[in-house]
Amino acid sequence: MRRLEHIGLLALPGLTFLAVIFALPLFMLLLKSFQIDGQFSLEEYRLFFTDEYNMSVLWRTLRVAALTTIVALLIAYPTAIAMSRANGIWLSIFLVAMVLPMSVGVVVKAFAWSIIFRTRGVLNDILMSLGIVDTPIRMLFTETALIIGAANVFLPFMVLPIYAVLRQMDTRLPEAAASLGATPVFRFFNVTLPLSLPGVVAGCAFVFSLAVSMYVIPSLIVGERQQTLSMLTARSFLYLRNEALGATISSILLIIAISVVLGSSWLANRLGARS
Amino acid sequence: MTKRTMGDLSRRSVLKGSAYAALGTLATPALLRAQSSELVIGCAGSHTAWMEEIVIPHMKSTIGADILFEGTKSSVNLEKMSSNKDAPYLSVVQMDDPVMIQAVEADLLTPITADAVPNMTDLRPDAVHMDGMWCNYVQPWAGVAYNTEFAPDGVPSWTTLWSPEAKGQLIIPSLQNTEGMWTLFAAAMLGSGKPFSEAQYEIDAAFAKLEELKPNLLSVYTTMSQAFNLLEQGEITMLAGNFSSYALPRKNEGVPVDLAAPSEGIFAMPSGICLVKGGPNPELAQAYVNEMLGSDMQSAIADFASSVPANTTVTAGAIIPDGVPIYSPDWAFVAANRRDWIERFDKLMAI
Amino acid sequence: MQGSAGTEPDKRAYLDVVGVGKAFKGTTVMSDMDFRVARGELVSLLGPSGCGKTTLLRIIAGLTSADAGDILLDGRAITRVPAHRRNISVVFQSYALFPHLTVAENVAFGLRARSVPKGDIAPKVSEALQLVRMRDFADRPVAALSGGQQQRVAVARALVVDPVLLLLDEPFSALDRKLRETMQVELKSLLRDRGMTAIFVTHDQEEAMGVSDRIAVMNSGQIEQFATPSELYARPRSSFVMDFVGLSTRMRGRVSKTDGPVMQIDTANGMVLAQGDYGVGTEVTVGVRPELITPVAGENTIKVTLADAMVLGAKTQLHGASHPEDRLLCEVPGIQTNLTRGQDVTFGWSVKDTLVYEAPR
Repeated sequence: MRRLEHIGLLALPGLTFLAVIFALPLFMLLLKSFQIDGQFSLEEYRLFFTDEYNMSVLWRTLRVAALTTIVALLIAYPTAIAMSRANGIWLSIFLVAMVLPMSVGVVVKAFAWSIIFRTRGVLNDILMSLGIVDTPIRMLFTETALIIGAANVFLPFMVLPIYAVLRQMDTRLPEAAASLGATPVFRFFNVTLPLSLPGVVAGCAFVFSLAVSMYVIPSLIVGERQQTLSMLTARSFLYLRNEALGATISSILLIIAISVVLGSSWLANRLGARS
Repeated sequence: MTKRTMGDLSRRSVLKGSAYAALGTLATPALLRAQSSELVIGCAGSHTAWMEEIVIPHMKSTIGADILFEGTKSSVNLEKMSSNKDAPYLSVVQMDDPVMIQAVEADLLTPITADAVPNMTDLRPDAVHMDGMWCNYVQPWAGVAYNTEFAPDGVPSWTTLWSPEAKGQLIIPSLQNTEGMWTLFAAAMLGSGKPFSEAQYEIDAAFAKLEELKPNLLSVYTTMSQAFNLLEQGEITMLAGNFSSYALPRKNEGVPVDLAAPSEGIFAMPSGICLVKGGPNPELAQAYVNEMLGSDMQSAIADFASSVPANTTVTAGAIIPDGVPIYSPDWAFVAANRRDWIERFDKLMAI
Repeated sequence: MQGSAGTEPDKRAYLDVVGVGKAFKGTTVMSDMDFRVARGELVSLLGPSGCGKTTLLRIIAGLTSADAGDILLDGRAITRVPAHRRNISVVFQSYALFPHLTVAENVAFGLRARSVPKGDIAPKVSEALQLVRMRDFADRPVAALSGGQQQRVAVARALVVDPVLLLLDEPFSALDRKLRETMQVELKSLLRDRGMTAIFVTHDQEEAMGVSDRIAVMNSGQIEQFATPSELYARPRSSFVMDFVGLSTRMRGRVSKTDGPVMQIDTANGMVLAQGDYGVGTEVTVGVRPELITPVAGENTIKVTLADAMVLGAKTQLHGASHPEDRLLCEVPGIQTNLTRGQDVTFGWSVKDTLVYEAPR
């Protein structure tokens, strides 16, 4: 037991770092959102939630985050399965392909996407040459482009947790299922999928938290006409110089993020408890 | 300044670090504190090219200063100044006039005096503001940038922005950006039918006219370089509010873009320079400002950035297009109302 | 080597593995494998690790594909049939129970996979759990079970779907010795009662002898001998089988003289007589089962200095000092306390009990 307590000390630098750099300013921020002229007040929240525009931004933020999570999951899951079965050079290629794009800045990526999504861009050229559409589709500055772009940036955060869980899964479980007469589809839905759910939950929590608070990606891909909560926060601090509003929006974002993290860890525990 | 103890430094740096983390948008380059020959200058992100190419080497050779510049939007510069008011790390800030007014109101600036900055006396009188609180050092002019391949006729009038042919072909700046004001004022003139001097106060008419612009808008930007890239690629044909110090150097590089001066009028971009109150290295900072206002730098910047120099002894730089009125708005009125306008604009433009 | 069914190649057994070959990344682990099992037979694949026994099991189950050859089940070729359509159940070494399901859900899995009507599943599951005396644990998560209980669940899960063949991969290796013996007896009678055809894979010869009608001893991807436990023990066909199945006294030697069916062999411990037809000068290995040796002179007699006398309860093992490559071992019934290390004794046995194999060159 004493050994364990000592090992706990190893977490101290990390905890201190987080406390000073993260928790303290955040706490100050929360305080600010509940204060008007030094008095405790919920007025800022009332104002925020009664403003139709703010509510539309909140709704868009949640919708974009949810759709980004779903798109990322749909792309990540098969990738994670392939990775969990890969070995040697192929596994290295997969991991590098996952990690390397993270070192490319979002700004660079956003410029790259605009090449793909432009009216005279690669994607429209392909669609038109295949005869799928007659005239170019507007894709830049659309929510679809934002979701595809965000899913692209956050993909590793979905793939890696699912991959980690699938990799640890006993490979004999699907074999046992096969020997019991289960078709590949039945095996997937009754063995692989349920056992990978903790990874799926973790990946979704990562991606949703990142997507709900993303700032650079939406400001580059959809611009100011489709604001998100983070853009509203930046605007409040930088342009409106309204710290109380900024603090309020940040706190709402924080509450969303905390709920996602707590909710998902509860879910992951529930799913994990059985295995 | 140079006698500051290490303990003091690190404590302050840590506090600053956490404040930045709370804001979540600002970087922390100031953790590397200025040494005696170092000056940290806040300037516009679009100035990066000529700051690096012209100003930094010049300052090193003339006044021996090592310039660290942080290029960003004026409002971000203001935020950096106000959140570090007790311990400024910026010595000089170059930003737009309306933001200068806010900085003066927040008591963040110290006046520029002719004693310390002798070149100030050579400036045009209208380039010195509020008893020397800030000076304009160059004045680019702003109109409408367009792609010369897809809009060979240019932009003869601001009404071209509203034409049906421009559907989905236009990007305008957000009101968060200073150049966003030009679309607003053009809309005010067209919407109210009054001359600029009166029209600039007709904000309701301006917003009503702006609403009619929505079908033509592909997007509203806060990051100009990205929008300009789309213009260069021909994804849009027009970029409203763009200015000579950005568009003309690109044109000179052979990119198929040009800057139009619509007949109703163009606008003078307000590029100001100021001294930060209590900023590090005050003497060197004054020397820096003096150099910026001197004839060498003035002609170099005016040439490089296709702008009108503020120093009357300099003849280089851009020529303001003939026969088109150039307007400078009532910045005090802008500064007083801008927050409301931004909120109103965002709601109006929201999809 | 061929098993008894294999001596009549045209006659189909219940399971016929014919000419199967398999290589992994260029390394051949099995070639031209023939292996036949009759209906209702309990058979073991016995061999050291890496001998190919698990590969053969996986090929029969359809979990690994064969590079060459055919698998026939009840006369029907199943070589290309995927695992889930073979109706061959497998009990894995660590049981491979589904950790996210309860005991009952694990057992119901195969029934659900076969789309058995919902109403029929519960009684079948209940019956299967009854069979392995696990009905009281139906709603437990499998992680809460002991090793023996997990094994019972794995067996119930495998049997509830009425497989045409049951394959068991080292099913007892995770259990402690006492439990292992109990489970072996239990499982064997369960399979017998149901007339199940089953193949065990094991490296434990006692286990193989305990549960099987016949044992295929495998070595380097080959079946060395496929026979009943008693035949395997009494008449091992190779020195590998003799060594792998049971203990033996073994000595290296050379044929020095032949006299009709009897050979005279020189060993480090003196001359030994054995039946066989190896020519003079042949290098051979001589073996004798230790319980067939008595500590008195016989048809073959050698003088041995005792290295150890181990009292094992019902018997006493006498280990003689020998050449490092040889082993001198004699088992005498009862407790012998009058024998000590360093003492000279005599090992004697009859000529017909003497096994002779040509030594590998």
